[in-house]
Amino acid sequence: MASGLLTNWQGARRDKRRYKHEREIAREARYQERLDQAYIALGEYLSRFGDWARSVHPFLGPVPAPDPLQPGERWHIEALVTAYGSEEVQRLLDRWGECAQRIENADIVIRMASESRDPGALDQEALREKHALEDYRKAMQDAADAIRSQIRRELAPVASHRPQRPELEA
Amino acid sequence: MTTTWAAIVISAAGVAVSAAVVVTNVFAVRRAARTQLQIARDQRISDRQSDTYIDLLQWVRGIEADKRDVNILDLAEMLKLPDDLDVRTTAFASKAVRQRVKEFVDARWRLQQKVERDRVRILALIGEALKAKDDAALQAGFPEWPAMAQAAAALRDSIRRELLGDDLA
Repeated sequence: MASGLLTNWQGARRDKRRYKHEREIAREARYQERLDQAYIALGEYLSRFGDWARSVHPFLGPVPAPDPLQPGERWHIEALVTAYGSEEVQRLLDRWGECAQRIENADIVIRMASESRDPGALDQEALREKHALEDYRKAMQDAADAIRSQIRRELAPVASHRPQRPELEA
Repeated sequence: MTTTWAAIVISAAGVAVSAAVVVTNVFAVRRAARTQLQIARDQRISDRQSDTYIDLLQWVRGIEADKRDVNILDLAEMLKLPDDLDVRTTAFASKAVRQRVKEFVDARWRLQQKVERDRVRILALIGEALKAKDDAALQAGFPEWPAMAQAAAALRDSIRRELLGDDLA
């Protein structure tokens, strides 16, 4: 009788542990799915900006610019990355943003010089920026590749660079 | 006689063990069903909470990006959460996140009040910061501006911590 009761008690404890584990697995699956969505959206965002960068005063022929991303869409992607992206991806994204900003600034200077009736010193700066554009584009491409590599590492089956989750830090 | 009693005791013990096994199994089945329900419920709530938080982050970003010089009535309209988001925030956001949203809105209001009181001085500070390419003086003379960015960062941090911890509290 004692052995029967003991077996039952142990079975109940084992079940409890299994159910707790099931809930943790469900939670992890949920988190992983959201991380996947955030990173897929980020990948598309980077590709789109890559097309845009190639269209800014290209060295050869006109390159059509992609349709501009609506602010709402951009904020949505930013929100996903803010919520689920790892700190490393966010850091790399900041660096990428600086590269994109450099291209945007160069574009503004070149446009201003070409539209100005008396370019003067602006013309010199525009020329300098035009020459630097290829370097800016390369830096942005490298920054985007670094983000993609990091994403691949985090989404790999045995992820060793997962974002730090608060309960795991404790 | 003794043998009869021994047989009765052994049979009673067998019945007791069988009863205990049945009871334990009933509880185990109930617990399994309850766990599955709990997982489904967690999933539903967590999805809604996640959508709400993403929309809140987007809303905050929109307010930060809006650099228009608005009047008080326009600002009141701008800082009002859309009805749907307001309802979802009440239902699914944690107390801490709701508090951070309130702090962000308060910070934006303080910024507006400061701009309306000291418009000329602030415009001069902005001009100086643009000329010097250094906004230290602007931040020191106009602390409401970095305060709003800090409130937004605190809200983002709070949401991120909850979503990464998947806290359903």
